[in-house]
Amino acid sequence: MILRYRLVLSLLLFCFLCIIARLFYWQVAKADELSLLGQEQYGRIIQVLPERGEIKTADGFSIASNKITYTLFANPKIVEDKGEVSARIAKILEIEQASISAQLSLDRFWVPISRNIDSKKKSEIEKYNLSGVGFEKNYSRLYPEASMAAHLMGIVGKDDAGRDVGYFGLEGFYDRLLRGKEGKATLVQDATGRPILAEMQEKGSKGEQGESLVLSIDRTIQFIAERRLADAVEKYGAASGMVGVINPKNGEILAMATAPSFDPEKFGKHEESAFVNQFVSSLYEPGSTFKPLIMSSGLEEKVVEPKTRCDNCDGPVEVGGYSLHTWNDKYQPNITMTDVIRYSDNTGMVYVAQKLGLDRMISYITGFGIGKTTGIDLQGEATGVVRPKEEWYEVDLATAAFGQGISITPIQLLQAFTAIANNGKMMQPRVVSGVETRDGKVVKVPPKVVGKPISEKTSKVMTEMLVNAINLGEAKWARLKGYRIAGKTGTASIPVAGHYDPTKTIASFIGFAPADDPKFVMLVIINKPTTSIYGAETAAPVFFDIARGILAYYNIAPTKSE
Amino acid sequence: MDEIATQKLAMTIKIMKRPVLLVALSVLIFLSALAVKIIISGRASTYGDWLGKIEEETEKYKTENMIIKEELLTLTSLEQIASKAAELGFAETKSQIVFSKSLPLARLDSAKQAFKR
Repeated sequence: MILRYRLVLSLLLFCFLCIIARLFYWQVAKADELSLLGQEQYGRIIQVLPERGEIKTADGFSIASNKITYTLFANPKIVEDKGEVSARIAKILEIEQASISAQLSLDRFWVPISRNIDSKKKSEIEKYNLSGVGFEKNYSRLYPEASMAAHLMGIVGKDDAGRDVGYFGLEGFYDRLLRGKEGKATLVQDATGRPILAEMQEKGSKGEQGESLVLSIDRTIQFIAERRLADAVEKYGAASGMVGVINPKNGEILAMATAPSFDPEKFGKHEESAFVNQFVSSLYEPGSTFKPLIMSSGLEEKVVEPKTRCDNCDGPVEVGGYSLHTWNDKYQPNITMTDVIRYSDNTGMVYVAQKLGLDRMISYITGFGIGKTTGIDLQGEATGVVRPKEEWYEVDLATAAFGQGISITPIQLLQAFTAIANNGKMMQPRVVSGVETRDGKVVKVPPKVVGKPISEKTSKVMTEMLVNAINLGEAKWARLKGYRIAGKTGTASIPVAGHYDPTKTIASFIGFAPADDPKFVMLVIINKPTTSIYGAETAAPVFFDIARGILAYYNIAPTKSE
Repeated sequence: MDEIATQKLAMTIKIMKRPVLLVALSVLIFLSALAVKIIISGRASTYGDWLGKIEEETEKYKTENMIIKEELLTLTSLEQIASKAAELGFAETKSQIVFSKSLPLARLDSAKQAFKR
């Protein structure tokens, strides 16, 4: 009896153990698998699209923002009347019906019909209640100021996976900051498809919106610069032109323009070379605009003074088997250093370079930032090379003094000039003045002094020489009356296949105003002008035209009437 | 003996009633909790609809905001303003008038003379 009882009890116990084991298997061992199966049945993975950060000018205006566009897609297996659907869509979107029909004839569950559709066209299509047709929301870049600062901003294209990626300029340099992070959410739905609850699968997959950039670019100055530059390129029959404006006290770029420009929303219509920002990426021989750097070096080393007279400037100078002339073949015996700058006398500059010597010359050139990148926050910055001392010939020392035989980028020259305008302190140029975080706070980027190649005294003396050059030099006809502006013209020959082309030049002008308390330094470059090859007749008027606008914008009145 | 047995039985019954009370109370609590859960779950099951509507509204306003922002940016752009200004006949001035010292708009003695007249 007891044995039977025990046998039955054992059997029952065994059955319970089997059930428990099976329950353990399904609820613990297979838990993850079943959970996933359940989610797939009842849940839907939503991609949380991040909005790309904006790019704003100094006044808070978004010159690069985002707009909502839609991708129209279809499920060919559900679309009933393919002919009617393709006809209706073709009419609204103004595209070929054949291309839509071709997509709808594919044996797939999802086919794209058209991208970048705006809200208006979307509403028109939705009115027809076409079955099997839907819309996917996307963000695409909006440029309310059209091509303003296009080279500065860069473009937003796609990578291999179809995600937005910035290329060139700010979009390229700050791509990681701007792009944000995609997130994923699991949406649990009931039988009718309505959400029961939305939850995140794991921490950190919420996605993050991109952060925004606040630029130092002044929209008004940028507008003025672009307009004047575009007019000038056309007026002087030039191949292209560039303008850069910087605040010498903190290195903030106030404007940077290149003509011809491009529409960043339609970048597909241009060659890749069109997107390169020549102001930071192209090398050129600066010509006479380089002279103030060498003259400053001579003044700093006290090998020359403003009243020092050149005892070898009564004719062409013979150096290393070459005969070096002035730009107009006019010579002034015993010319002073002040007049060397005023008349842009090449022989006078050779005198200064020879007084300096090669070692000091190279030291000051590199001290002014030539031969290294400025570190400006734009993608694609180039730099020329300052050859080591052993590779310099006697004639190289001479020609470098007047800006030939040495290659620099426009941004390097602009940076170097901040030293003259800012009491000897050279500032690092930058375009972004702050980063706006997702919660609206702006984290400022502090200014940076990158060197002090000359003393305050030398910078003041050099400033006076440059003011004198404007008031009495070749560009005096174009100057603004009543303002003390410091500046220098430049007409650089272009090297072509081992020699210089006599008919083509790079005409330039660099200067700052007001001379006593500079608010801006500006470099204007007109590439291969055809109406006149000289900087005094092309780049200088553009400089003063833009300067007039900037001074009025800053409410800086002339100091005296003339 | 019978009395002792009866007393023992009464004690046993008394002791047995306590657990029964506890069990009954537990069952009551359990049934109440179950009822509350059913009521709340029932109500919450319809939240999905409400949630879906809120999400739709939010999306709609977000989209509207973006469209309005797009229009605002385009209309307040300098390109647009310059274009509109040109249409309205505004011309850019190259010269400036500068007041280097303050100028009186009216002088007191002139005003007095005008009054006397």
